[in-house]
Amino acid sequence: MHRASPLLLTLPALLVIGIFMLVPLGYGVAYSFLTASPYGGAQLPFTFEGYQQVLFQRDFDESLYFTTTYLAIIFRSVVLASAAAILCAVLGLPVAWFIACQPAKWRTWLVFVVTLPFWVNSLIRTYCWVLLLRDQGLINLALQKSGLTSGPIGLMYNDGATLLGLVYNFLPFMVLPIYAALERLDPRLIEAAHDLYATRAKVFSRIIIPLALPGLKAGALLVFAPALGYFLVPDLLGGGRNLMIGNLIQIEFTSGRNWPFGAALSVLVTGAVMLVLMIGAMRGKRRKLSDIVGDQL
Amino acid sequence: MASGTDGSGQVDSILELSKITLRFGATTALDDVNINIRAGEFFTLLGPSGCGKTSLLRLLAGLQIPTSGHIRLDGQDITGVPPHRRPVNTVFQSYALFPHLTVARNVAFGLEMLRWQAAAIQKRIPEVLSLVGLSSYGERRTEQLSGGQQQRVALARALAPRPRVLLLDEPMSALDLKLRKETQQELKRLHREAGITFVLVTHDQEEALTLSDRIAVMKDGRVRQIGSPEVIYREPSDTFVADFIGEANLIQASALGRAGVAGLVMVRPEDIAIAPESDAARVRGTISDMRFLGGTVELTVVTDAGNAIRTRSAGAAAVLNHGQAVGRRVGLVWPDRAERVLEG
Repeated sequence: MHRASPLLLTLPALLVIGIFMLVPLGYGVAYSFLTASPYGGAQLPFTFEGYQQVLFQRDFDESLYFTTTYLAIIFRSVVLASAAAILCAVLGLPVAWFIACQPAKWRTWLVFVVTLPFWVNSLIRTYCWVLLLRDQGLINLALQKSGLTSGPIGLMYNDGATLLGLVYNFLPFMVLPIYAALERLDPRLIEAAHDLYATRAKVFSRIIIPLALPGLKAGALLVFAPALGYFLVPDLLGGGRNLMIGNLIQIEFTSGRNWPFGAALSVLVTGAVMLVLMIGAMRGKRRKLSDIVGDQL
Repeated sequence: MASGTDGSGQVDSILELSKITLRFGATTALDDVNINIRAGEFFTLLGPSGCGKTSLLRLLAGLQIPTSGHIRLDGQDITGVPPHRRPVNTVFQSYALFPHLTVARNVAFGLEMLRWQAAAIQKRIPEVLSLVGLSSYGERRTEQLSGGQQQRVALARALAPRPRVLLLDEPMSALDLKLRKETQQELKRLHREAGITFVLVTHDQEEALTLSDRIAVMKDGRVRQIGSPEVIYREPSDTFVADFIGEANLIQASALGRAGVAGLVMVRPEDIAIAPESDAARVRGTISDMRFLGGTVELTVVTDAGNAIRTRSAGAAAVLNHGQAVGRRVGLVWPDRAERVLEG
């Protein structure tokens, strides 16, 4: 009985992980190897067609031909998610540094303010950007009223708007881990660097950046991974024309009625994110995978 | 103003602090401090916590700017010069080693910032590491080192750029007693070999007496006395200095029957001898406590006037039988030169 207790104690956690993670994931993987039913869903027999469709399309005469349509979407997703991660890092580092420099009693409040958008539904937040960016939106009105432009300028329905939405949505995921790293930075290290002839710029590049690096890495993963599969922002701000992989998956499961293909794409996205995480874990030899994602938040 | 021998045998000043005052809001951390530190000397700022000694060190490092007053280094005003443009390096109390750099890279940091040639840096690193006895530790990470080793790295890092003045902020406070003694000797040797002016901050009077060429005793943001360890110990300028440095008996002059002398008479315990209760004794009293300290014996004598006077001597053990000392009446004697009259 005593020997069994460790296993018994971990059982609830194992059950939660099993039911909420492994089972859906397993379903996803299984669906990706099935054949599409005409009215949605999937059926036997097992096939690789779901994955085949990423690179090849079937012509009317049933012959396969190579297509870059989906590759382009995957490529755009990776580029946009990477750009979002980089932009978040550039914006998030000064914010995190600013918070870390404040007196302790203010810091908790400022961290709360950073997480404030989480309290509002992301759909509503993204619609707010629509209100701001559309042709009759606040920004265009202000530009025209002030005489800077004569007509509305197209702020929406392009990759720029998608990127803006992604950065806006995921910036807190970057700020928080960097802040966690910087908060632990001993201010005396900065004094010591100044004492050893480092200018402000050198202190930043030689002390602050290297010590914020674990936070930056964690933040980059936390932004990149969800941004890669996000569909709300490209749908609303990108206008559904410049698809990201998340939109494609959503379409395949709904109007496209091609669940195996959608599932295959999901598996690919998940696999890609896992790969990035694993490379990160292996390069930071002494840091465990769980540390990189876990201890920063 | 600028340094130079003035004919009276005065040595060159490397650091001159004149009329330094530092205020934080309503509190005054430093109040009209004037100190001249000589080139090559081991100078110590000594005082209890909160006396302003660390603030003074931060002013020298450039990490803080005085509210008023001037600091001159080699005759040049550096009062407002930022830390990265002062040829002054600091050994911080917590060492403040860069955790993301190896020992060698920590040592090289200042040199890189000064844009030394790579070859010169590669030559300098083993030099300073061997100076502090850490030759084979260059590639270690600082977190793998013991407290004493970290302190040596901090020393090596601060000495590497060959600063004009080395500042040490309580560098031994984090070490245990044995290691502290060793490190004191080490510091003394480093001071000799490096030939650099050292300015040490400490609250440990024994450390100050052992290491320093001269000491500035501070209290409440003011300098109470500056002098060599011997002068500070033998001729304290006031009761605070007398009490803070070593042990002191402070006796009301009136209790000694000194007509016309106001204030307190200071006598060090080791200068007082036990004598028969005769007229020759300066004071008479009863032994209230006896402590055997190995080499010496410490006696507390309560005088007839009610003062508790402590004596310490090697001979007392021979004079008195250990168990029977307490309660005996004795006289106390000391030579004239051993006493010093201080204002109350």
